[in-house]
Amino acid sequence: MKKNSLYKGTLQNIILKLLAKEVKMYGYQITQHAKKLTRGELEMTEGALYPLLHKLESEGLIISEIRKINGRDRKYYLLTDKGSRQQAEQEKEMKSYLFNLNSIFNR
Amino acid sequence: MMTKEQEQQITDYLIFHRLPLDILLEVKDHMAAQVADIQISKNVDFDEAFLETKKRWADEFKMVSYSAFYREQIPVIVKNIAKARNNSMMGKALLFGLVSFAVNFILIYLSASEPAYSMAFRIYNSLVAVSPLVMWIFYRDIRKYMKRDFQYKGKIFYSMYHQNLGIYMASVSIIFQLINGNFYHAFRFFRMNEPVSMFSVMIDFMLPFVLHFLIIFVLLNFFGHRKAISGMKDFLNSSAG
Repeated sequence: MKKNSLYKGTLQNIILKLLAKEVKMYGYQITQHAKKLTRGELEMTEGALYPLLHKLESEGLIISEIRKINGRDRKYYLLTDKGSRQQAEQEKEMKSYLFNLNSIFNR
Repeated sequence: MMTKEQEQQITDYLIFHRLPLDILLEVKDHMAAQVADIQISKNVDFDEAFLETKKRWADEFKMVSYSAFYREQIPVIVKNIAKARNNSMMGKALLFGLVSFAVNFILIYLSASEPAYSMAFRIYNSLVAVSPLVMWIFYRDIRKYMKRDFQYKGKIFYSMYHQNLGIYMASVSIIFQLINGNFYHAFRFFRMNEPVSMFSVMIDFMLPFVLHFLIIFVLLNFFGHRKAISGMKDFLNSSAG
């Protein structure tokens, strides 16, 4: 994370949410999509992204497939059923967390 | 659009940094997309964009030591990815290791005498030790991918699991010493109520547990390696051709 270490703990939630919305994504696409959605605020470093993607894959939350795009091999990540369930659960927790933070900081 | 030569420059750069093939494929695609974006956004040529991309990745390619079982240094990003994978596999290996520990304990109570236990202990540990060899025989398709990558003249591994397979050689030699040793303390302690040192009893239990854990870790790496190879089949076939 280049700009804000506060994002660090929520990186997993962000990746799972992006995959839930986009169905399948590759590493660079995830970094660019997150950057675009946050208007440049969130810059995921490659060093944070790839170990996390591999961790999620080894936990069975996502799977990967290699596709040839314009003659180049590209590794896409997709949510599994287990990953979808976990994403929905985490999103609920995250919304509640944000609601509580909002209640504290906007008093 | 990137030319084949430019793509090859990225590949060569990643081979120079010794990325295993499965990670290399992913990082190469990332870097190529990054270079193309920089070229467009900053209106620069490939060389300049590639130089900027290399600077962004520089910290990830610093070489660090990996483990006690592996002498060569590996890039930071490979170590972090391997760590993420290893943690999950170690959890599974620990679970199987505990089952193995329980089997060892059951053998003590099922054996009628000390020589019978000694025999059962040796057979059981031999089976665990040779299980990766059985996989090697059973899965013929993987054999040619057990050496370092052929296309790049042995410079890199096929997958990040590949480098963990060396643990087998270290643990199997200890396990065969174990089989030939006298591991009767646990049997005497639990079945014959003889006064034996607790340290020896602990060694009798802990050493096989640690070795079984390592062998199961090797097996999980073997299957991970096989899965990674199967995912890269198209790439490997086109490279070989």
